[in-house]
Amino acid sequence: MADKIIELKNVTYTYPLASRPALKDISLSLEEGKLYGIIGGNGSGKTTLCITICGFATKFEKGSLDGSVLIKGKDVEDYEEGEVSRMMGYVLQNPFSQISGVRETVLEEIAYGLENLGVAPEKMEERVINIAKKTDIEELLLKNPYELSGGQQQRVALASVLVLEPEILIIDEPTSQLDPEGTESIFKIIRTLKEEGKTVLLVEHKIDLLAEYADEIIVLENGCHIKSGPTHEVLIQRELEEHGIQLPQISVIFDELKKRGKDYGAIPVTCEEALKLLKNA
Amino acid sequence: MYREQLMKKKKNKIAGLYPMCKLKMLGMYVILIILANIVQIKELPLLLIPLSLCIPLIFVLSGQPKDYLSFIKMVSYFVCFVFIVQALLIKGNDPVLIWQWKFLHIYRGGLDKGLTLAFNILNFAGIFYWLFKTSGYQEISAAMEQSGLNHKAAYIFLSTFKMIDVMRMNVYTIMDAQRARGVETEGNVFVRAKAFIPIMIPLVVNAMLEVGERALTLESKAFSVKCEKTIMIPATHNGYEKIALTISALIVLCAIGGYVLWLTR
Amino acid sequence: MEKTKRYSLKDDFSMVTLLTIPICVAINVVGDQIVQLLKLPVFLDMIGTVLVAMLSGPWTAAVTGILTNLVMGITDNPTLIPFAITSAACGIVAGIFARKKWFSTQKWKLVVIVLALVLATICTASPISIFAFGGISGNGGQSVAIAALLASGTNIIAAVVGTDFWINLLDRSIAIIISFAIIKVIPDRTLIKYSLGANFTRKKAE
Repeated sequence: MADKIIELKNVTYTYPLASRPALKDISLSLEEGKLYGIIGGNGSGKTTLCITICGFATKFEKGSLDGSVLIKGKDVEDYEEGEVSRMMGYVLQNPFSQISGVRETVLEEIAYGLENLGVAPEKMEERVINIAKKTDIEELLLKNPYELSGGQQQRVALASVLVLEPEILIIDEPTSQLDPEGTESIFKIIRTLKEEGKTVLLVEHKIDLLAEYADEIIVLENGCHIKSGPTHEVLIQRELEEHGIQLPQISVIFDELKKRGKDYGAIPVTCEEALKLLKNA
Repeated sequence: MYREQLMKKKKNKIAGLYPMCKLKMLGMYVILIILANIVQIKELPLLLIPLSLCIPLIFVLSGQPKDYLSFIKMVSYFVCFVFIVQALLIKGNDPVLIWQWKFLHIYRGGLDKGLTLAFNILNFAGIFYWLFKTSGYQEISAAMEQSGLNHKAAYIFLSTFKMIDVMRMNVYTIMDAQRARGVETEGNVFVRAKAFIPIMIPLVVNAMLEVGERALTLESKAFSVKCEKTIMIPATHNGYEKIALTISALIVLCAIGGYVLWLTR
Repeated sequence: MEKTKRYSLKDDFSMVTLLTIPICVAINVVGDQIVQLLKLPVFLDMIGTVLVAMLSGPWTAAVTGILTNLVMGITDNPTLIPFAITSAACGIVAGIFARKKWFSTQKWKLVVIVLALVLATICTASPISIFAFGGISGNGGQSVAIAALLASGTNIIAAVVGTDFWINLLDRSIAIIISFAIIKVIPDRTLIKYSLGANFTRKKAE
């Protein structure tokens, strides 16, 4: 049994001046070292869930929070100022607003978080270069972060959080500005994070990729937690389509085949699994 | 390897001095300015004129004569205007006529006031401009942080310059967009004034909307973690600071000596 | 529930405010640039200061004002640096009125604020421009007017204060109108993050 690293107990969160809560009575417990995919339509509360887990929802948005968010068994509100950011890295959707705006080169931009943690300057460069290699931006290191394309900025944003080596990573649509090839490479990076034992929460629309990489899926709708569980169990439930969730094409096809009498024994969620099933049949 | 590249010092020994050292030199220059104001030759602060010629000399020695030209372009109109207005319009308590041409008169009082103001502006503004032109903003901010400036204050300082650059570029983008939508940016004063709001508001609101996200970003980059902060590319000494300060101090001492001699003449 | 809400400096200088100060300085500087692009006869270098005063009070506004003149002094015209005192004074005055919730739709209150700002400007800027620059300020039109007044025999103090009054009356009024226009467009969710932002939200907190 893995440890519960994040626990939400009956969390209801309302933005200031809002008449309805953005999150309604959400209880979740997330295990260490797993990759969680968060899906749901626009306005379903995915981003709100992310900032609530980080403790930002009360600190910056000044909304009202009922219930409790526990990080490693301790309430997120009880941590001293800034301590949560040592454990948790949060990569936002919009890459442009993630540029610190005080550093001239990508190298220093990525190192900015290390500077804030007081890492010795001599040790920074090695860490930055390692991350830059990993995220494939090594040739950009001496460029001005404002002069990069959206996709490059997105990689820089990811790199500048990864370099801090947090145990928990919350990543909000990291591939919105990337082409399919770039998207694939970001997912590969995310998989290596999982291999390093980090817990990853990933908000993502590209369901086929989630099917391939995520361990578990959490489905939100209108601020409510409507379903969660292992990827293989969640992404084959056709009733999710009624909630506006798109399922992997492959699972829809196999489900339709099953209804028409062609049962392959299981319903796959990725192409690889489908191929395996077809070969065995 | 990248770090070494970025930390490479300027070749010029004066421009490459540590910013705080330059600040001390600036302080000594201010002493010279004050002395030049006190010493009167023919009842005029004439010493300010040769002193103001030291500014281009300092720029040339720092290897940045072009920056002096841009400085002169910036202030010359203003300085001339101040000088002419004072020289021609002020008579002083007991008017001594120095120069006359048709209806134009220059009295000693006016000349005194004009010279004092014009050359003080040149001297003070010039030396400040030198400090900020020979050290980058990031270098100055790093030096201040190393001398104990709060990292939040350093953030505000640096981020301001970046924000101005970003917004300057956005002004043109928004102006073009609003023109395309039919906002008039040329015509009489009222037409042009009306264009101000549709340019200003999107510019400001766009920037303000990003603030929330930027706060979250900084927080997840450990901005508010309470610990000793470090700087990857710190401001460094180039080794000539002591010599520079000694020379400056000697010049100031000589100037003070000269002043004492002048007092007891 | 909070019983009494007391203002604290820490509230005023929250992370969000910290990030807003550079924007407001940039508004001041770039406002000046737009004025020049549109060739308008005003300076409008105080919109950002008034805006930040309305959102988070006098101290942040003072910082914004001082920083504006320093930055413009470094990048544009070094003679503006002494007028940092004026910008700070105006920021403090606007911020005090903002705390008292005088920035409202009642027109007479706004008129009082404009007059107070003009007074703060004259009390600080006129002495600086007289002592440091002999009455000439960075504004071309005003300088010509002062020169003309001086030439016609007007006392220098009267000339400077007189022209300062009219120019600043116009300038500060426009600054307040535009700050209001900006605040109206900013969504409630952003406004609420500032220490005084709740005064301007459309929906009121219970």
